[in-house]
Amino acid sequence: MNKAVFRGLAPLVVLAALLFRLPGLGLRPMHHDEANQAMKFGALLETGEYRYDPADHHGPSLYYLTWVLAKALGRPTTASLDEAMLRLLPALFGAGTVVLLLLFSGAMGRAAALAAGLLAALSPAFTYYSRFYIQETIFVFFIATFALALWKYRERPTGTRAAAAGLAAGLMFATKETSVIIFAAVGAAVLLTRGLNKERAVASPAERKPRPLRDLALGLGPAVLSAAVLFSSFFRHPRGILDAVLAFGNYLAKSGDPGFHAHPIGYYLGLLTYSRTGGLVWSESLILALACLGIIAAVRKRGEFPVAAALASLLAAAAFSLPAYKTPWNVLPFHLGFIILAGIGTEYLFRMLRKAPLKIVAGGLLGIGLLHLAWQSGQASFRYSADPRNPYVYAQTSSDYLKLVKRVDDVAAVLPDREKSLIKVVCGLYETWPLPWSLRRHTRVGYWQEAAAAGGFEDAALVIASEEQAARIRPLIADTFHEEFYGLRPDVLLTLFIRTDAWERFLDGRRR
Amino acid sequence: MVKRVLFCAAALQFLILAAVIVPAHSQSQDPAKEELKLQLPKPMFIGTPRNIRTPNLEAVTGKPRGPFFVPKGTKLVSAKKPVISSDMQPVIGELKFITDGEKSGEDGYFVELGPGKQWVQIDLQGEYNLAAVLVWHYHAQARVYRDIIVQVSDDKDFVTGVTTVFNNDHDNSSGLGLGKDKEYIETNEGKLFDAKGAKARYIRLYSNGNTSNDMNHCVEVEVYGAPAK
Repeated sequence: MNKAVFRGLAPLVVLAALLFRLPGLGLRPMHHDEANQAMKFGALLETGEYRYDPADHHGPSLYYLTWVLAKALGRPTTASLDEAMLRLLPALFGAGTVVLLLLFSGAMGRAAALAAGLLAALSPAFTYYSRFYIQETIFVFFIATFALALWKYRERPTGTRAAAAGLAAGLMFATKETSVIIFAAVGAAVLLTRGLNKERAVASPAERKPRPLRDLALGLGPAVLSAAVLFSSFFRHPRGILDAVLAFGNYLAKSGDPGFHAHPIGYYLGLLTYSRTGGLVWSESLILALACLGIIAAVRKRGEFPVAAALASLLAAAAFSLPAYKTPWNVLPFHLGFIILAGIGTEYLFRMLRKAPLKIVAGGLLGIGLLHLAWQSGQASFRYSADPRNPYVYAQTSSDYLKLVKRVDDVAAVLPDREKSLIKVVCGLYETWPLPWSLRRHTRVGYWQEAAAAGGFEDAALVIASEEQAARIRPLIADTFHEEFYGLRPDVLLTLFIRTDAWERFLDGRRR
Repeated sequence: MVKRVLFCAAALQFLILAAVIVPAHSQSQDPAKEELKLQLPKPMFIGTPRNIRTPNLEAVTGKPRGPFFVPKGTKLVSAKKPVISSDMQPVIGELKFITDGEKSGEDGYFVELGPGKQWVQIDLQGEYNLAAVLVWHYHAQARVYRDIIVQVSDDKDFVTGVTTVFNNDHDNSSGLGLGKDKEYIETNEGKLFDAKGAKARYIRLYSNGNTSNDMNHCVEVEVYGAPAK
């Protein structure tokens, strides 16, 4: 592929990525984790306060990057935030990853880079989690930056390139603790690739001799500094640096006691290969098949980058799959490797097919496969974005929950105190979220885990309760409240009690 | 004294028994009526689905629905009859599934309509005195469908001559009037609506998402009636 064609097609690939990532970002109800992180960010935005939590919520980069975006968009308070604004951050980083893949053209060829970019733009997993306010998409962006900087350093070992790789590594660490898996996989892959290349006596592509000690220092400096700055909340809480290290103990314990998140070893591969639930079929087999071709190309040609990419991807996939603790978004870091391999495989496929009719047939089939990926991304991101039949949906808040939020807003709107009306939430911890986010514009909301602790309900216009607590509240309020129920998650319901006078006011508004 | 007490207890027991048995018995004794024989699909989930007890939800008894009596000569009149919908291009399934007689809760037997308020409409291709409408929205999982409204009419556009057989839209969010009926959990028994002899050619069933997702589903609708005279 010549440079002009590549330059003509590359913007279209980025456009495709944006088309699947930017529209309708507010459609899906906030996930428990998203809401949690949104409120944590809200505190940073309003008070400037952030402390790294070694037990949960991952690294600080998400919050500080959101802070930059919120300032740029003029959102000064938690109440001024919304789902679309928060999810814009991962959406932009998701599209940014596609741009980075195009920059790998020097490492794997223009056609391969273009194919990898297009597959990332259309991959349902990549698309879906680019619209999710969690760390994963940002983490993947920094992994791609790290890999690109490493390759650039391998091509031409300059101090600047070493520093760029170090900075990316620091940001990876400041985004997710699982970065250590990627460092280990990449390190092992680099060493193994060097070993293989020694056997074949392949010349290094480097034009300059590396200066290992200087470059190591230039790499480690930005890595340590960037991580330290973020973990210590810009040195306001230096303890965060120690906590970042101690956190590994917590996450190791978590992986040993996975609880709800225990899944079999083949969970991630199954997620990408084939999933069929409730009449819906999902598959990213096209990417996996092309990635297999990429591995074949790496084995046959022994190109340094394809071999390293194949080894790193497979090692990372194995490392993520071995612990019982699994969440579907953890598929992204090694799926990035599969996508790079799929790009290499696509280029290899067309190189292998020498006859024009075969190339046309392969091109047609690939086109159908890409359309299928695009269709799945559309379904996953829009129509089935909160539907448990979508394999990327995980402990997701049901769309029915949005009806509860609307009901609370609508009823409060007809009351004399409006958003200052008293709302009592009586739910266990797992049923409380994302209520604090959804009720953030209501100024008098109290949260309790037990009905007995809530101190009576006659003064509350609205009471939201889990099923267990609703059963305890019901005898206390007799017939003074109208009662409704809403789906929070599959098999988890919330009960909304609306004081009778408030309900009558609301219905009067409906009748008019 | 003991004899008196025993006599009183026996009499009380008899009265309680009579109170329970007589209404059902007297209904079945109506010579103009017969029990509606229904064929139900196998259940897809076990036991009482959820511990929901709210005034707006029918109590989950876990017991089979009792017999329902209809005028003699009542037949299934909806089998293979044409179906239209507010969403004429369902992503999953086909509209003809609704009257094809297959009621299984498994994949491949339901049609999925888009999010929000949707309806399906059956054309009985003739006027009938309707006795009952039996509906299975989706029974592979315990869920509640929102704003269920069942209407019958002689007008295919449902502008005139509309009779509402069932309405549990208690806040009028669907804009078809406040409903007083209760919400219910889908099971393999389906939901039986008493059409009370309403004369109609068309049956329209509304829903507005469910507690699990925003989609609308329908496995089967059975309409029972007799040709209108």
